[in-house]
Amino acid sequence: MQRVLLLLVPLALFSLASRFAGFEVRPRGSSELDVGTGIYTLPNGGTITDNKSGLVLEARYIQYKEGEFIRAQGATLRSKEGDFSASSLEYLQKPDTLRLNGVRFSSKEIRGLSAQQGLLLKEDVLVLKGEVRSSEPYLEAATVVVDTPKNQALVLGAFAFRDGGTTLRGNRPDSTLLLSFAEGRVRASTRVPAEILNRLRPYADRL
Amino acid sequence: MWRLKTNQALGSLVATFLLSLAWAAPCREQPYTLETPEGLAGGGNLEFDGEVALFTDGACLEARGLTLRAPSLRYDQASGELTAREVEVETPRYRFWAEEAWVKGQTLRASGVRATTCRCGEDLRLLSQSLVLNTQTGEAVLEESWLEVYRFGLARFEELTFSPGQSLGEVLGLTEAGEALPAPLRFDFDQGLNFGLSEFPLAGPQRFSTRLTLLGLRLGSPDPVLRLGLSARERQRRASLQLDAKPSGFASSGEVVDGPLFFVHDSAAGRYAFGLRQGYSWADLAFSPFGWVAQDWRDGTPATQVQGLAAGAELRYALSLQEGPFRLRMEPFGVFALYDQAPGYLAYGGQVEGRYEGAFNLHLGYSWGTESGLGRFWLERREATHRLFGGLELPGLELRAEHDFLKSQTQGSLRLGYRQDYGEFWLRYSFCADCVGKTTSNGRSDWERRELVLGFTPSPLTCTYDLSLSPLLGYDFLRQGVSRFGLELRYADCCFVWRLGYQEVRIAQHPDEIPSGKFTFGLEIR
Repeated sequence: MQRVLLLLVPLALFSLASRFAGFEVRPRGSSELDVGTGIYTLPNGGTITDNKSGLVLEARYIQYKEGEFIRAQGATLRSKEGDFSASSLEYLQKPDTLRLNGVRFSSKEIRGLSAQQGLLLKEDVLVLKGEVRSSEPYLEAATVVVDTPKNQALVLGAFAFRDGGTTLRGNRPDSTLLLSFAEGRVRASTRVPAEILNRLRPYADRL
Repeated sequence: MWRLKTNQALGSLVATFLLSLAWAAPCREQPYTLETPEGLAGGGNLEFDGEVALFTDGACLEARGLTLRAPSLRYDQASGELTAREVEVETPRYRFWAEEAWVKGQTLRASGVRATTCRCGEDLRLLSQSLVLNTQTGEAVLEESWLEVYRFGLARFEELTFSPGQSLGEVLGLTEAGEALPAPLRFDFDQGLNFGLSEFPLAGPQRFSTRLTLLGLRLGSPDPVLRLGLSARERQRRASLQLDAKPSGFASSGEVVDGPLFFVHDSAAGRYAFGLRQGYSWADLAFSPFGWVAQDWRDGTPATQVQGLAAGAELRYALSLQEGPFRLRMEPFGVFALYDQAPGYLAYGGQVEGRYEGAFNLHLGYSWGTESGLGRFWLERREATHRLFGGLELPGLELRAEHDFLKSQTQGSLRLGYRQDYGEFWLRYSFCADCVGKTTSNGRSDWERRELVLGFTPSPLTCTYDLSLSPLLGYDFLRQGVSRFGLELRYADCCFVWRLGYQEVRIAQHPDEIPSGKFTFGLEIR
């Protein structure tokens, strides 16, 4: 159960995305600029590197407009925390939002994490929705909302976490599980205070 | 760091759940569950703060054949203890309630315990101050417990030990494993009314080791009997005494055994003996020297009374071999006795039996015994015999047959059964060929038998407030008439199965049978 909190790790990675405000672009092949819109297109993809954070975005197809957005397909984000990939990705600088489809993430601690959709918001809230899975530790969930500043993760819908020979299950479609981390302790509760539920559940509805 | 601490917390939590193996029920449908390889905990809600895990709103713990339910289950990581209040535990045989329960290590302790075998209600229950349960073996000890039937206190026990698979009758020492509970209250009618207490258990410090019999037999007939009996036993010692008061006088029987020393008597059979028999064994060899002073009526009448001393020994060798489904057992024996006023006695013989136990069961055996001289007392006497016997068992078929070479008679039975979910229809054909005029061991003359009995045995009652009927009907082919008929009604309530039956023997099939009707009443713990 405790290892599900490792979901906080990819959040730490995603939060670096906002640093793409100033980045270095290396196209793979040509780079096309639409002078009318100011949008760059890298039809063969390329690499965008944030030298400050060391975050590297590599994709088969990239479109970006400085100060506004980055769109990519077949994208991989690399960092020292782990590798993250998405079939498609859209980063909007205003509001500072990262939207993903076909999300996959792997690190030393968590392997084979995937979800149909992902959303990272400016307030460092990550939403993973639709067949959220990981192989190690084993995880199945419908929706996970991770609130980094408050060190909380909310699991919505039926879920299963397996760790060694132990499996924790929420067996009902309306299951809820709040995981929180404070003062070196992990707390888990299926009885989620209404204020937290009302604050975090709307994030899940944005996907 | 926090991951390590969390790992420890969850590891301890899981370990505690694993240690609660003796508990078990339908936990899987709870909103939240924690599965382990050996058990499952669940509840309406779960709280875990890194130190204490709490399942609430209908918590449960389920493992091998046991289920624990409580409003909440609390695990304290610091003390490594699981606690619950108002606990209810179900096993296939028992339901327990406890005011409070603690699990630590392999031991569960509970206080304020009530236990019952009843499917509903608690008309039969044990109240106990404390329960100690080994969560690995499932063995439980109830301390300072009190047995109640219909709220009527029956007995107090300092300590009762029982395993999950044991029946209450076995736990209380009322029955041996696999036996049905004998009804301590007898109420039936054959040649007269039989009424009273039969082997009624009186509570001792550990189990029912003392039993009382107070019976009126054949009441209303010309030959009524008032029987008073008392028996007690512990490991190496047992004693029993039974007094029968009849219009014709008194009769008594009993035994006292203390290790190798014994005294037995049966005044009706004219048998008394005081002596010793000490057994020694080396591997499969058993040697029993004996000596006694005794009296016996050889044919059951004072005319053949003998008295005197006997000393001798018996030697037996029990050989048993098994190879796959095949088993061979052979047990030769020899016994000799010397008397003070008569020539000595020697008997020897044995039994050899082969068995096959596989898709079907087959056994075939031969038993023989030869006497030299006259055995004066029943204790050392081994009657001469030469018997060939065998049997075959298949699903729905049982065949048994035996040929006695000394009596030149053959007897056997064939039973066919047709089993359904609700019970078994069966027929049994019994025969005894060339038996007429042959004397049985009780001195009575035997006769020919050709009897067919048809019956139905319902499946054991599993539902509460349920009824079943067991009819049987027998026909004697030799005497051309109905030999027996009977009907038993069984009724299950929450705690007991009540039996009420009537059987009438119209044509006796064996010297031990008397043509008469018999009304029976019985009681079983569910």
